[in-house]
Amino acid sequence: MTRHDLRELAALTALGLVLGVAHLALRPGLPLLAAPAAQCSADEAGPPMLMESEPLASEPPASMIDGGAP
Amino acid sequence: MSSEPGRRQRLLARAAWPARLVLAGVFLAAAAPKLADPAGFAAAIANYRAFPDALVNLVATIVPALELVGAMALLSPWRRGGALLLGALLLGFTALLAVSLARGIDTACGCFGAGDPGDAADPVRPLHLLRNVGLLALAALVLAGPRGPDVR
Repeated sequence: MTRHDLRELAALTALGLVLGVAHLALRPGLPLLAAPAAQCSADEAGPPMLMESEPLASEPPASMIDGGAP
Repeated sequence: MSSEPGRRQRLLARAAWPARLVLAGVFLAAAAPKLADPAGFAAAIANYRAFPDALVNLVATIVPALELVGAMALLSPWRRGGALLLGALLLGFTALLAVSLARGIDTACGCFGAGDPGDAADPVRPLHLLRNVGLLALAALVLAGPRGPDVR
């Protein structure tokens, strides 16, 4: 590996970095520095959502509990 | 009658050309889907849990760009720089795969893009390490080839 090889490597790496950052900048849906995925404070989350109005999937329908036949 | 070192050099020169073609083809095939779907590749990278969340998007666009540049360079007179770049990338990929295997992280490889969401068809496995070692050997073959003009 010569100094010439290392210069080529440095130039190609710089080109790749520039292209990569430019590609990211041209994608409006992808922020340059993404927010942490699990960042969710208690204030943002709001009250816990309790789905009391809906029966659990494992529960049998009320009609089956009451009398059997619908 | 030619000398032994001279014959070895000619053999290396002839072997280096197909090695360049294969290596460039593999990395072009790897870079294209990642460049087309950087968000999917970012998700694949995030699953490795090896980078800070803030840097995942940056890595997801820089890595395929480096793969593309390295592959194109392999097909140009800058082939030695391209081989060095792709060799460095391969070392990084291999280390990442090895660490993931050691940590027992069950995730899709993402080596050729994200694939379908939730696709478990290409999970990280030791075979990927073996493939990377083979590709590293091709990069070494290119570097061992002659410095002068192309011999095909």
